[in-house]
Amino acid sequence: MSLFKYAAPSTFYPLAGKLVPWFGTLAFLLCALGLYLGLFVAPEDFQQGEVYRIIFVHVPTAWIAMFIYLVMAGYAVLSLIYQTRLSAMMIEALAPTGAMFTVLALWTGALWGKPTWGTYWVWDARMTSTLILLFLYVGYIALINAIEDKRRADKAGALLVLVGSVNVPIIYFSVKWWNTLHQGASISVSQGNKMATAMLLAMLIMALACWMYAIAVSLCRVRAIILTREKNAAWVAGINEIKGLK
Amino acid sequence: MNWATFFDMGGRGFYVWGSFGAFMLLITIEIILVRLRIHRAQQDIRDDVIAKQIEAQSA
Repeated sequence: MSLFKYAAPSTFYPLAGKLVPWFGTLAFLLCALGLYLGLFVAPEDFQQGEVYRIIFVHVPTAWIAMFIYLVMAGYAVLSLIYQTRLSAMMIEALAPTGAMFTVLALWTGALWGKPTWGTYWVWDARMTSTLILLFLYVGYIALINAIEDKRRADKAGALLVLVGSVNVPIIYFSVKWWNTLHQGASISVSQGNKMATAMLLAMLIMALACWMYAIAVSLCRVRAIILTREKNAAWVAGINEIKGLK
Repeated sequence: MNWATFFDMGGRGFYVWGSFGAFMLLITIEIILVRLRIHRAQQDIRDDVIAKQIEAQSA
């Protein structure tokens, strides 16, 4: 059996169906644990007081928003080089979730900015580049829906995603490259972390929860996309959900 | 711990709960939309299969 076996929509559809509940349950449990740690266990911040707790949704959603885009760029490479149908479907399945996490990162950032900086929004490098990330997600979705021929839509979409991926390092390093109102990284590979253990743990668990959630929901969405696109394929009529019809 | 102080969040309840609330709300909406989407896709195919069966019977 090769790994490419699951690159076929017909074999990936049932596999994804089996994986969704596992990732979904994991996401739920991690989210419950992360919220408990973040809201009840982590101590008050000595500078910011209670409002810093927004970090437990802000940082994980921002990380996953960027991460999903990179995963989409990876699938875009696969899609353009190997022309695998499933890669293009995965990009399509991930985009709405990526857009949702970007909206959450911007929204929670605004709600955090107001009490700490005195403003919901400034055209600071990190915030502006994150807004561009949202436009890239929305632009991709609009683009593939505007092109009737699915193969051309996939190709154009993959190209857009690939070109747009230059924005992700810009977001990530913006706080270093420019003087921004947005604070620098609280944890980094070179300098270790600057946070209390309980705070760090809650944030990492929430990030993991968001990650598992993103996998679960995009696997579920890709199943719908597979069914819609492969509607007329012979294997579709043979799957359990369809055979069980009355 | 007192629930009133918990929800007050040091006077910043609006910002904290506005963030956590939006997180929960959007995730709930997305789960509902994705479930609707897959059910609709499956229903579409069931309809097609039934239509073909009826066609075959009447032929």
